[in-house]
Amino acid sequence: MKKQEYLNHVREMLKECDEEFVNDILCDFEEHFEQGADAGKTEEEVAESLGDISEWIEEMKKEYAKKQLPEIVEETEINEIRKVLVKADSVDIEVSGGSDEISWNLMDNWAKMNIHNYQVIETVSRGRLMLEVLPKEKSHFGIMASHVHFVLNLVDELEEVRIETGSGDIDVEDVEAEVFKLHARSGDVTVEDIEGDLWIKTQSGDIDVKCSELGQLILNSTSGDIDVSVDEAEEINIKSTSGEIEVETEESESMTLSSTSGDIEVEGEVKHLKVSSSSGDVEISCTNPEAVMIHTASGDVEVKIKGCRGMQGITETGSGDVDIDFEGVSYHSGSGFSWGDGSTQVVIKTGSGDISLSE
Amino acid sequence: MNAQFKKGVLELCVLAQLDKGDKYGYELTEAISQKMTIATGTLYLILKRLKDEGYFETYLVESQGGPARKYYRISEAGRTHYHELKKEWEQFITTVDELLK
Repeated sequence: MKKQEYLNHVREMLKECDEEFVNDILCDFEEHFEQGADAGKTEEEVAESLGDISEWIEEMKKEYAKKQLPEIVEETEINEIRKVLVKADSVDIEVSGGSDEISWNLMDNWAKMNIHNYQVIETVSRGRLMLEVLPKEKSHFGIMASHVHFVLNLVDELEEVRIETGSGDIDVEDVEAEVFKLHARSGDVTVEDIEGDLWIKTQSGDIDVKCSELGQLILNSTSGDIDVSVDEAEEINIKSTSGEIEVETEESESMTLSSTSGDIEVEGEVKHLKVSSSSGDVEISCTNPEAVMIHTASGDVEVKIKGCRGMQGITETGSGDVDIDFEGVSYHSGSGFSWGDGSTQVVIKTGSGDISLSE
Repeated sequence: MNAQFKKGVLELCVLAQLDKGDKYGYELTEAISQKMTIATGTLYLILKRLKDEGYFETYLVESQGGPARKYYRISEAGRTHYHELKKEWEQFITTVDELLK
């Protein structure tokens, strides 16, 4: 294949791509032919060594589809911080938003005795700012480490805010981002008045969330207690092994809660509610639900449903009592029941606990 | 070899070559294709993408008797990216080595 033939072939393969991208690539190839000629290669030899690039074209088509402006993408990608990651161990972290630029400092309640023992290492790579709060050396006042705070002021509308600590607490307030990922081992996590998706994971630390509007809320704790109060959320998903879960909401689309031995308590308006627990008790007070599903192995279940025109479903217990307190409820075979227009689906199953369903 | 894996490996090779010093296209593709059999054209696609990510800068140098040559120079961000990739690669081959033993 001669040079022009090869270039035409490439142009044909790239015809769905952005003009500028295609020209850049063809320029590169053209230069390669020239440089190959300088090295004593024929056009055929160079074309053969450039070879078949079709395998790679598919991906390039996606990345450099027509109408994309590579320059603009380039600038924002390099210069703008879109993600922030903070890593610390025993230091408490306090985050707030609304600033014009990202700033941070170390604070110390104990007359600044400890902050000199810490340093903050800053790295920026691919639009991500990473801040590592590290002890310089072993502190003589090691037990006072918990009095050091790392205070971070963020701009709003970041793509991702991610914070990882060991024993330090995380405190996030008044800030907006696409997603928050907060991870503490034994420290507590407190979140107030933020907007975006919120993912929190702790081992023994407690989680406390108070917000008005959230997208996804995903919480996970091994033994910490979880306390949530959110006006509106698209999706709530909470998992705990032995901690207690308490959720209060004004209006949420879907909620899934699960716990091994902790108690679960829910109050508010939820369209789809799913609760599972092994030995904990479950207490629900729900307005206007479309579907309520509760499974426990041995805990008691108390459900109050308000503002619903009717329901149908199953209440099943191995050895406990079932008490449905709705006037005119009819029972069917196999633990089934229905009331009113049957529009809300209710399934409550427990191994040995009591079930109570009322208004 | 799956395409994603191959792409990562070639990206690493390109970064490594430029980390050693600035090179023009033909020089760079020759350095790699002498060691492994590949369609060198793919390297230009990688170069273009890495350049758009801000990992390389280019500049022109007059050459004797011929047209100016476009040289590639690795940027700070490119160097950081190179070290990250290299570390991942080393961890990867250590793991594979352990599995082969």
